[in-house]
Amino acid sequence: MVVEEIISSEDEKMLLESVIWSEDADDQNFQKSLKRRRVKHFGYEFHYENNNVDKDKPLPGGLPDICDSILEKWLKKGYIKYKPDQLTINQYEPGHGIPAHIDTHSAFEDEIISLSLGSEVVMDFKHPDGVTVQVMLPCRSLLVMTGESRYLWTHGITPRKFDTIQASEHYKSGIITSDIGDLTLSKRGIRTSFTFRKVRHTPCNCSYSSVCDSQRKETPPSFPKSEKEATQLEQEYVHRVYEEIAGHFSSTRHTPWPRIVEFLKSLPNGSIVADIGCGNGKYLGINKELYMIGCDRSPNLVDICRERQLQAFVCDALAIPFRTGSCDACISIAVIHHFATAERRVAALQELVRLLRPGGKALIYVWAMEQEYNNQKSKYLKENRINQGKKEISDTSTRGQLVEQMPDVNNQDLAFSMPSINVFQEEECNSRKVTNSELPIHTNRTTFHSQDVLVPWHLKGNPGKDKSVEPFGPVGSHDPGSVFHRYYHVFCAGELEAACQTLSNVSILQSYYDQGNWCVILQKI
Amino acid sequence: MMCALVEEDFLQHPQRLASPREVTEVLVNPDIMVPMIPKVEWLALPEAADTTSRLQLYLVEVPKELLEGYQNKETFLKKMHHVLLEVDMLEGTLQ
Repeated sequence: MVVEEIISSEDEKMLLESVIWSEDADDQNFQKSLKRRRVKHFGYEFHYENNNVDKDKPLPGGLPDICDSILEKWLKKGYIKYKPDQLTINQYEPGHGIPAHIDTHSAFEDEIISLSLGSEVVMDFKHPDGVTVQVMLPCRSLLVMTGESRYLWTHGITPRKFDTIQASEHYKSGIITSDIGDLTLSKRGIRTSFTFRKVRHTPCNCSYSSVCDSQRKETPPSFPKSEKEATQLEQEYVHRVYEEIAGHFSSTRHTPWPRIVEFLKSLPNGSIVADIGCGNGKYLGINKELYMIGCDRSPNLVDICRERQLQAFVCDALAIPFRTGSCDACISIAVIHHFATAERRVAALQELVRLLRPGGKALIYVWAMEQEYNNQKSKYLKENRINQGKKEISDTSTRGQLVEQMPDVNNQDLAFSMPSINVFQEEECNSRKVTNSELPIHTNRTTFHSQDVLVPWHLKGNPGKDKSVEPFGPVGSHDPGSVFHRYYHVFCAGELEAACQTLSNVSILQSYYDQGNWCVILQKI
Repeated sequence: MMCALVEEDFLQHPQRLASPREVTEVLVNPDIMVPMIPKVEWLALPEAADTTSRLQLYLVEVPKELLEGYQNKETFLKKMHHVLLEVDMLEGTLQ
């Protein structure tokens, strides 16, 4: 429900003037500069690291007096049923946004209201079924979210500078339809929102248990048994994690791998090359004679590419918005192992090949189950030996950097079949296929004991090394010890080749083992 | 404007794209430009460029079709270079 003109422009002015955005980060009203907006909290501080409030620690001062009288008025008029005790003020510059989210069920009561001031904006509401509704929030309007809109639909604001809106209904609230004849662009101004919520003191008992944290079973993730579970696993243990660790992850990824560079340098000048899952874009500028364009599932990583003046966009590797046959070559480095079922891994390969013109080549790297090959330990394992005695070992510091120290120690091309390894590995693989239980958590720098694992990432608060990379996410929200788990399916010897062979229109030009990874170069027929 | 390479949905409805843009200078490299020309969708490119012009966001001179012997036509390659590599769509809607 959107109530228009809920306050006068005089009140709007007064409210806006009451907000003092001090430059001092230690401001007592808990002001923070998030990546895409400024926020201030009253009543209770909202903690972005767990998306909840500390219910035992109300902020001194409560809500500003000016809000009090306005809230009383709304209560009397019946726009709201309960009086909120928490206020978050967000300030969005044009181009800012807020990721789609549902306010944590256990944190707040049913009714959540948001007052839009300064500029109108279009808010996107998404139902878990995939339905998206764009709602115009005019200036001085009050958005009231209750029931399904509060508990089940996500809401968010796409970061952009213009909104496409209904030309005939300009300045009015309502749903944006796709009637092209009636669309126009609206330039965003600075919008300040006052979001009022009432802190919940009992567990949530809504009827939307699938998205309710109070009703969530506290079971660790298990091996996915369906497409839906696989998607959820990837969402929670791949997409969300990369988004959170993007800044730190990027600061550890600066050294290109020699054989990937070699592949890129071998391509004819002027080739159009797509890097699907480009991360921070470290391969996009390797060969200036190519036109390279990257994509990644993580908006934060794509932002890092853009800051580096590299061409990149956000997309899902299963649905890449490129014309079929438009690329001369593609690379997929450390991507396919994040898909949680064999079908999805093949689908990702298929999508990669779809982009290629006939004769075009793709280079694919996935993490190997075997971290020891020809009696040589991979750098990944070696790092453990080097680091022995050090207390905290994260997998973050090594995979790129070590290449500098020990180039090509055990890069060896593999013959296509390797009987001795295969026999041993097939046994391994088979035993894994029946796995039906919880996903094990891998101990970094050790041998893999399962093909489907959660690999810990130790987030460091300050990316440190690479000064050009800003720390992302809420400043200081993660203590230095935060650990995130990423889902991996590590590949057995021969498994990547077998997956490629299920595609009808490719031939495998080369397959090899490179530093704990299985690698394939494909050609589209 | 590498959007000339993106998927069919866009190509069928280029008029729906409307966006602010940014121009950055990129060194002209015929080795990259020449192989790219045959991949351009000539239906979509001028229309897309025209859309941005109509919104008075940018006026750009875009070749309307493939020129015979384009490999050696410097002015043509320069124009194509400009529109494909130097004009970036920052935002847009595909509805």
